[in-house]
Amino acid sequence: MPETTTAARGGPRPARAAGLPLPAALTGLAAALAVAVAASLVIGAEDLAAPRAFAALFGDGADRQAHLLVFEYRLPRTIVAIAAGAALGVAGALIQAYTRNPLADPGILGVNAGAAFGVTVAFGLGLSASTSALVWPALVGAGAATVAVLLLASIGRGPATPVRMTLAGVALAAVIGGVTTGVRLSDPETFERLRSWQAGSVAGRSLADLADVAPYIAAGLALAVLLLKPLNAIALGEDLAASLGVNTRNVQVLTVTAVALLVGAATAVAGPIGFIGLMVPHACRLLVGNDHTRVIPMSALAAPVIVLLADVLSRVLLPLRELPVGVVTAFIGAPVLIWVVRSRKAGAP
Amino acid sequence: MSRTGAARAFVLRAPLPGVRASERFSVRSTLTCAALLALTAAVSLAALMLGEVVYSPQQVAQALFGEAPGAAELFVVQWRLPRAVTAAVFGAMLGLAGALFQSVTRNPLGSPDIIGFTAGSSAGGVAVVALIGSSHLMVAAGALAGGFAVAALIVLLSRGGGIAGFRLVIAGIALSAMLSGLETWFILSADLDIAQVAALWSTGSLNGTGFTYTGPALLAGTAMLLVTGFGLGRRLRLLDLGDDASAALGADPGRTRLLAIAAGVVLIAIATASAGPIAFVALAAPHIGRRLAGAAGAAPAPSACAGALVLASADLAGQHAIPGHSYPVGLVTVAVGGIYLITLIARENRKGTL
Repeated sequence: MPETTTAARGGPRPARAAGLPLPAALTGLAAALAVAVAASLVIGAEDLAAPRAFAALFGDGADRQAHLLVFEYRLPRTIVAIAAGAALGVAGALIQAYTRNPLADPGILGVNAGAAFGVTVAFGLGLSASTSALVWPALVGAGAATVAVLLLASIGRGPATPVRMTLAGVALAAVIGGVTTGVRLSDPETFERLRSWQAGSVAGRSLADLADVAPYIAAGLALAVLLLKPLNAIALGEDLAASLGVNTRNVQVLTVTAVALLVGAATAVAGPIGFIGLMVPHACRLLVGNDHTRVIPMSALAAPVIVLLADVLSRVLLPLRELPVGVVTAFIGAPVLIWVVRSRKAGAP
Repeated sequence: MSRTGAARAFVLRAPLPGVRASERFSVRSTLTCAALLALTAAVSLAALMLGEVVYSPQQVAQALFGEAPGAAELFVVQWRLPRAVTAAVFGAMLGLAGALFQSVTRNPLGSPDIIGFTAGSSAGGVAVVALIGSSHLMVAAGALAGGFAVAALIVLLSRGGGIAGFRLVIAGIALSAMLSGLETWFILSADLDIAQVAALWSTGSLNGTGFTYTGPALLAGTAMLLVTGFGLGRRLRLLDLGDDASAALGADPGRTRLLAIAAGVVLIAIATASAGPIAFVALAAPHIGRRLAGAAGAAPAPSACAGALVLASADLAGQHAIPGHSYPVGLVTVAVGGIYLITLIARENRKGTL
């Protein structure tokens, strides 16, 4: 019932009659993704002419240098960016849909900080630096932070307004971040090992790293598919959703689980990357309207495009050195957040 | 006046206009300030006593009056005294700046940490360290420029009611995220040894404070405290009465806001330039001061005194709370202040005002 949903009071956006037809939007996004992947293979510290890159990619092993560059560096990092991007985009869409809060974003709500805290503690306890050892601490940290921020925002009277939730997330992220830095400073070795990880980067990640987290991302995406229809009902308000036969408690548990899985896994492999979960669902709603059965799959396709483009930018912005992709996404995402609060009454309680 | 009305709807603990505004020095407010300052003095005394060599209060007093042996004089006067004084004065500056911002935005969360000024000062300072060099004056200029740039941006963004009340807070969160990204950029693009200096500075720390280094900042900060306290106190009390009343009583509210923001940015930039960004003191100190003094409005003096106590205690805790580890004061304030923010949000939620 997309029509009813979009008209729902308190829905994520005011009624938007029509968006692009879904096939057109999906085709456009797929094309954009292809372009982004091509850019990610071609552009970098050592520019590789497109014909050489693609010749190497499609089995021409004669060009050793291009082969090495593509298969050892560019392709793994591209695939990691796609997976992490899809996870973060879907997580953002899920949490915005469930909380009916257009400002919700795993980074703003402190979920990334929770995952980072889990990883730091694991490091401090002497676990190895491999991604497989980081997954579980990151998942637990992300899950705990998600539950904590939702609880904190829902204490007391009335619904958890977007502002309450954002503030709760900021406060939580501040505390967790402070403790995380404290742990790192008291143990120089941990600090050194986490320095490259903490800014959020897909550089130097291998497919083996991705394989360690892929099952969790897959599980999170599968849960998201199950949640598409119930979340549309939740958009009508919890009471109406319950009267439509949706078990709101189950939806809550499943959403939190899915968000924790997706964010925890993405953070374990790529470090905390902010604002993807905020921007992408907004862009998708502009394209296809408010129906979650459309927005969430679209986010899975659109987020990798943004992460890839941010990653390509991060390679060329500084001479001789790469910028963490998390810095670039903050630069793209923060103006989007300001635009969101300026353009609508999102800040109003 | 719709802007004021809209803003007031967002206020967490609405400053009831006019309740006490006419009393220039209420007894309770004066007593609160005296008590807070006495506590600050006690904490500072503890800071002078504790350390690798522990001295008794008598020995500290002897050292302060130049009657102690050389070692005690070195430890207490050369090393510990500058740090204790700096903590108290910078704390007072941050507390006063927080009171100014919260008064101007009419929002208890409108502290410089949350609306992005601190991040602006910090990014400005790091930019100077990374790109030009770590001379004290240049860093101060960078911090000042960064703070003013963010202030201008916030004023521009909130033009036409585009951002009022809590939307200001959200915009500040976005700005802070961007500025910390900018900082990372500067730190990464600098050489490694310079990057380490910049990164250390950006945690907010009083380590290695000495009078030769922080002396100018202390003098300038004390002067700003006095100028702001005496120069703006009346205007701020009038502003608490509401824009109309303030204008009718001869203080243009727009001008008051501009002056208060400028004074707040200067206070924060001075403290940030020497100690780095110290989070959440400017948020929590005015709340503590206002509550203790039972004041309805801005309460600049109790806020400043509370700030002094908060920062002095935080630095003492950072140095001595966990034996064997010395943490930058910025970490203590971010952890404790964050917990305070959480309880604040929980309490306001329960009242249903958020």
